[in-house]
Amino acid sequence: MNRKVLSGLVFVSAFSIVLGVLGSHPDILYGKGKKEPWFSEQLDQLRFLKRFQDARDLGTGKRAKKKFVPIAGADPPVGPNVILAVDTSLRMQFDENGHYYDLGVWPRADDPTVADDLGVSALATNYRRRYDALIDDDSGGSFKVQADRITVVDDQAADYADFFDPTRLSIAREGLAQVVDENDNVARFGLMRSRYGNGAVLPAVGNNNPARLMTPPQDDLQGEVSGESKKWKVTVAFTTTDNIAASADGTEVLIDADVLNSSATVYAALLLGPDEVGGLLPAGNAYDDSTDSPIGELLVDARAEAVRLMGADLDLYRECRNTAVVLVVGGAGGAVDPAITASSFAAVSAGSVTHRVPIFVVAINPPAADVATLQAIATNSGGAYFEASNAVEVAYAANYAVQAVHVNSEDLDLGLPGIFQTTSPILGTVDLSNASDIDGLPLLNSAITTSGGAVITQRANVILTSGFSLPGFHADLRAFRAYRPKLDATKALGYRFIQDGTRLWVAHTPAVAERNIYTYVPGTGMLPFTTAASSVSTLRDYLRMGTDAEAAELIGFIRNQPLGAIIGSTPALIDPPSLVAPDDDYATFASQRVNRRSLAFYGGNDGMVHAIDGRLGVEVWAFIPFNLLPKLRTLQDGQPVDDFAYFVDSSPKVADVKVAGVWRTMLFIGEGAGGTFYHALDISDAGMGVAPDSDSEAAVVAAFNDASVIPFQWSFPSYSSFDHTIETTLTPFGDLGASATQIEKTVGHTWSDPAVGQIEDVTGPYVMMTGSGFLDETIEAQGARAGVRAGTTFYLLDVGTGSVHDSYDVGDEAGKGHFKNALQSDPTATGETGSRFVTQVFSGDTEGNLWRFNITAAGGTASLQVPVKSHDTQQQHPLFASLALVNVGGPVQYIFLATGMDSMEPSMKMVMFHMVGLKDDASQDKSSVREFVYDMDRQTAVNGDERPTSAPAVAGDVVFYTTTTEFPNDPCRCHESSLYALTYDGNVAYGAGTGGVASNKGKAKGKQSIEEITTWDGRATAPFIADQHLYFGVGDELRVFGDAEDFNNGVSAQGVRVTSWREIR
Amino acid sequence: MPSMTPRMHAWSSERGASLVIALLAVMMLTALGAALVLTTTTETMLTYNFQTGQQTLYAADAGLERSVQDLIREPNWSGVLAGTRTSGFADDPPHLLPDGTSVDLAALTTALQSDTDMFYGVANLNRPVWQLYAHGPMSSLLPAGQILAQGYVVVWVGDDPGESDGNPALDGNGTLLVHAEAFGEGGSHKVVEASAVRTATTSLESGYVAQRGQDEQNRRARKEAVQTPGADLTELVMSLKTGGIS
Repeated sequence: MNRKVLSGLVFVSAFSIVLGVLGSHPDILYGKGKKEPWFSEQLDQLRFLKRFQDARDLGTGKRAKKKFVPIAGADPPVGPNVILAVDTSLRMQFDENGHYYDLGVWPRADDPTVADDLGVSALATNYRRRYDALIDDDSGGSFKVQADRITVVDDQAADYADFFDPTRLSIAREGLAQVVDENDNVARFGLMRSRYGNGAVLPAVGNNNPARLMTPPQDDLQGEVSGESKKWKVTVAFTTTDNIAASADGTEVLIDADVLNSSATVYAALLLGPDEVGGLLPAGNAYDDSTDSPIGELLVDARAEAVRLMGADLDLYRECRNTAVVLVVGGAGGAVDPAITASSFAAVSAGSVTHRVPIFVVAINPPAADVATLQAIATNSGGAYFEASNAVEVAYAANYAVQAVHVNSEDLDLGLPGIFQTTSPILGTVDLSNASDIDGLPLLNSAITTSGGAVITQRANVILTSGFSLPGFHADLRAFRAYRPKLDATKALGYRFIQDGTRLWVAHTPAVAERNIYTYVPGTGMLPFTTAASSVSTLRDYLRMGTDAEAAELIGFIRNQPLGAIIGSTPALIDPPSLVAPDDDYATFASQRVNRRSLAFYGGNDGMVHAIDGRLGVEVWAFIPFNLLPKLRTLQDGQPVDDFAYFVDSSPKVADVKVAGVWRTMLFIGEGAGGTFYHALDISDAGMGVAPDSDSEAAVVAAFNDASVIPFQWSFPSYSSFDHTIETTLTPFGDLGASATQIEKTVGHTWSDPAVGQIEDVTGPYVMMTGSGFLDETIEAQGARAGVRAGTTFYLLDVGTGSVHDSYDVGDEAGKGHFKNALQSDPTATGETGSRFVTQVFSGDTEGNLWRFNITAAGGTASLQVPVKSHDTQQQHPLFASLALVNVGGPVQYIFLATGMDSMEPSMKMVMFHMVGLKDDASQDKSSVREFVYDMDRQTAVNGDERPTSAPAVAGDVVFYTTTTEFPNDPCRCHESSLYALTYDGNVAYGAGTGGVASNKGKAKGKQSIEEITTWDGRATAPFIADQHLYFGVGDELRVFGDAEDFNNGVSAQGVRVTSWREIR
Repeated sequence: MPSMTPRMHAWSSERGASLVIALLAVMMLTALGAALVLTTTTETMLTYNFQTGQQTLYAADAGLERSVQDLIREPNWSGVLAGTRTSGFADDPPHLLPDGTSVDLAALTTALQSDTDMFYGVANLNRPVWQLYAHGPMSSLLPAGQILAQGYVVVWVGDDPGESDGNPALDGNGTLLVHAEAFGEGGSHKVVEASAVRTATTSLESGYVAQRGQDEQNRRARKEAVQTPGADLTELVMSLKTGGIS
């Protein structure tokens, strides 16, 4: 197997440069089995990218039918245009070794002697021919070409049906077909070919007889042309005039992107072989070179098609519908200079709009001499250049192009990548003493003292924003300084702390060889995910690779990837243990780790849990869950926007817990739509060994170059219950096997981010509390699962072992069939005022039930009482997001929640969603009291579709909600974010004035409507509150509310405050 | 020996006074060491006595801060007041001063208690009864080589005299007095004293709670409001591409 370097991905300006090693692949495309069932998760976290899809999907909800009527003539809006422009010159029928694949099906009976001479099986009926090393014959005789030999594949051979697979054209077709299939709901694909000279028709078998064979023993064969010695026939679509001399005749565009179901038609066409009517026919007047390959002309035609598509589009869509060309070629060529032509793609005007139409060049085994020209095509248009030697690599490139056209049109036109915040910003504490910003400039006042010389701590001093960038689906994890000290003699400390926002870093990987990536294999333990022979041989089967070489290639590919997209994972930022000491042992535990470096953990859709150094932004460690090993191979062909493959798409929860009498810092993380497992890792000593203010990336990374630094603890279900050999349509990358226990089979996709705490009192165990999430019923019915219902069980797991203390299945409620039920929201644990012990946990399900689980502990075991349905929001109001919970005295809890979710499929929505406030007094068998409920009614006000964004947040006596309003009738209209601030009883929390106004329309508690504080363009993240400030993301901006000159106020910053200080002598 | 002042009771309940935020001990002490060095460098025009006095004052404060760090990790301050729990900052005899003489810690404790008893009266059961909590050379506050000054630090803790439980060995209100003395070169001697109050909250912005789901922590500490409810909110914005909150 060959390895291909993606040589010189060429972009304009800020397009990310991705240099990766693309591994070759086994026999099949992974994409054929890639449509995992979780594409129908009831949530689509990338839905915000698919504005055109919203418009198409209108009309199934009751409310939607009233408000949003599909626009006449706009069917199907689908998404951006992707023009697949394929080189169909003769060179495309060659493979990378220069072998020509004859188009004919040769009946053995037509000339048994020749068949025998060529080695055709006597049992065969038909056979195909490959002319090895076919080149022009310059001998001056009657031969047009010469070949080393004819290699036959007859219909008795297993690979007869795959005869054409090695050709450039088949590689192109296969890769493109996969990408069309994986993205047919999000893009409009069109298909075009290069120009033909005259006479390009599907040839009859053996229509040409120009060949001689050069290598013994075939050079001595008689040949098959009557009356001529040693002359052989070839089936080839020769044209009578040159391709490069042809004019466009309108037939080059095979399938318009703007016709109904264009993508399905393109897909069908790509499945046709070169010898089938309707398939892409390789034709021309020259063999394996660039002299008759009209690539420049193909670009001229592609541009014309782009202009036509833009001009024919509706005004409503033309403004923001992106168009790109995927140019698949075997090299350069043409009478028209393709690189110059490509320059005109930087600004294509039609229908009163001008857009960039980037060209993504996919060169399949191109001649070295053509590479510079091909790269120039990409550069000049603002696209990217890829080389490919197999269909997987073609798919990777084409998926990249589909990703690129999902960047906002404004950014695409400027050649900028798209940045999308997906989860809420967080704040944490990082030692920034004498640190530098992203440009290497020293931070001002990063280490300050009082006039008395005491160091002034700067807590909650770093903001982390998280999301991904397109194209590439790379992580976009950024750190900013939250505030900076400014001298102020009026302040007790001598400083005030004012807003800052200095860029600190963008998370990145170290050198590939230095990356500390581990996995865990049952029976083996922690294992470095490297190409070392010991790792490769152990991992090969789990990676679903046939040989060690293939496994090593995949491992190399994965290690070469940039940090993967953050979609559903809110990072966790840890610093040294700093709880108010729960017991005597904690003091020792904490003092031993007082110099532990701050780390950010998150789950990535590159298959890993990542640890990023908080001061430097470099990845120091990563972990690939065992059950995701078989799925890694899907990354080789890129990430589709539509059938996106999720991996570790869940938020880490970190807690200091006592395990077997020893304090540890543990990390717990699920996989979201990526899988059905939770994982626990011991991060107690992560970040030790290097000074917290060290700026040596090498030293920081090296400190994690040992599998024992962060040992794996357990998974739930157990990894030993995972059968990596299960390969079905529904679970192509493994599933629970026969050894799985009944309780393990009840775990759905692990969307629910767990809560952690000690139960009841000091004698109670520390447990992880969680639900799980949706699992398709067809999977439940599969194999060893035997119909066990998944997703509706709540678990109490031992933090040390993962064993189940107790569980409870809330079941499916009769009459609630709108959603398949799942305890998918994040549980929120609580207890009595002033107590750190957990006695209750609240969790919502997708049928709209809010459950209160009362928890007790006895003899070291935690138990669930029969849960109380604290509230029922009804089935049209599923509970996906976590709650905000506030204890206001004794056992009484205020509970704030939002129904629905902005990532729900449009067709699943039937009503306006709600913001709800409840009060629960913890009485068994007693539901909570509703304090307020508000419609998200911007739908009425602005003809938009308003939905909540994840969970609300609480500070003081105020609860904050963020929502996102979409405009399904107007895909080009930017999403709008809204912020609401309510008191516990539902009244407006902040006053009128500049910079944000709230008014409640004069209505009192219990009314149905409330106005937002204000709105912004862009999708909102969930809010996060720290240090008396409210943070949330909107588009590629961060919104901050609070006093601009009152940060680091010390609120709850430590367990001890010094309230007076005096020099006595 | 310094005497306890009449203001001490007022200090213990004083709110809004200078708030010295506790931090990780070594980080703080590293910076302190730098401050010491810097101070020593920049004050070369000052008299020797002044320099040593400042250094000794810093040392006293450093000892106090170090003790606060240890107190944070104490689950129960009654153990501290009873003398059964002490700081990890403690050296072995002979407790040498810069001039080579030995510190008599028991005598210092007795003297401090005598002054306190004189102020409050021996009959006052709520008076602080000082417990030796931390002691050692200044140089031990930092890793070797990071502090140049010579000196010795002693820290005591005592119960809040504002408490009325009649038991100076029992912490009933989460408040302690921390008394630190440092003995430097040239006979310099500095004393600082602080009131340390255990916050009733878990540290929301610290440690592992900088993550999703932090709202569950509200059961222990409801976060302070964003500005003043009822009034206007101030809105700031920052571009992810360029940074800068404005």
